[in-house]
Amino acid sequence: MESAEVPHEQLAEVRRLQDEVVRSSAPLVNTVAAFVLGVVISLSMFAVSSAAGWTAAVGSTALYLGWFRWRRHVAGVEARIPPNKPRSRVFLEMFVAWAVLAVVLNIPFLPWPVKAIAFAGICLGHYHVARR
Amino acid sequence: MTIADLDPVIHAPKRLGAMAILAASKTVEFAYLRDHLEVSDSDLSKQMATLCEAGYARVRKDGRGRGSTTWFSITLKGLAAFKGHVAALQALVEVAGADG
Repeated sequence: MESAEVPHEQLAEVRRLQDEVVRSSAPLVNTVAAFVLGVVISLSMFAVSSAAGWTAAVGSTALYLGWFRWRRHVAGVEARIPPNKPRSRVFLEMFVAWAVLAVVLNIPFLPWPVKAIAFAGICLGHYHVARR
Repeated sequence: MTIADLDPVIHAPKRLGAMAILAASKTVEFAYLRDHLEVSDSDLSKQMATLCEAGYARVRKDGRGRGSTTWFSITLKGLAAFKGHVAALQALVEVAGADG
């Protein structure tokens, strides 16, 4: 049916442009950076009483945010994480997830399998975001 | 969903393309939109002015003079209108598929 061609083509174009936004924003690179940041924060929280731990956590967060802003400036676009979730919100969620993990890993009476499952859960969460 | 559900402001191909990019983005720079929609500066300005006047997009300028950058973002009203328009397009395709 010829009349259906136009809406079909328009929908295909909408999808193509939105995919391009996600590609241009390099979500995988952002997620890897957030992952590294998470590891730094997690390790820093083991040494939370030391000034070096806090410096590493705050410094790495500032570096990530600065780098993220630079990336956005260079790419000219900042993708939302579907369904229309701002990337800053995703970052905050990752930050909280790593902080919770650091606390879980520090609980002495928890058996190591529980800790391993918690760690795997965080890694899967990152992978899930990276696939978007 | 009928043809009447198609939004006349979004229906123009260039504006539909711009809304598709804006709906997937938090912010988009002018040059990014121009390059991906393959339109001229003046054409994009005109199309974006129409979207801004309809309350579907908002504009923000960073810096001054030659070094300034123009960023666009979608409004909640624009996002709702875009989703409604895409749903209407999908319904039309499905109806056509059922007929054909």
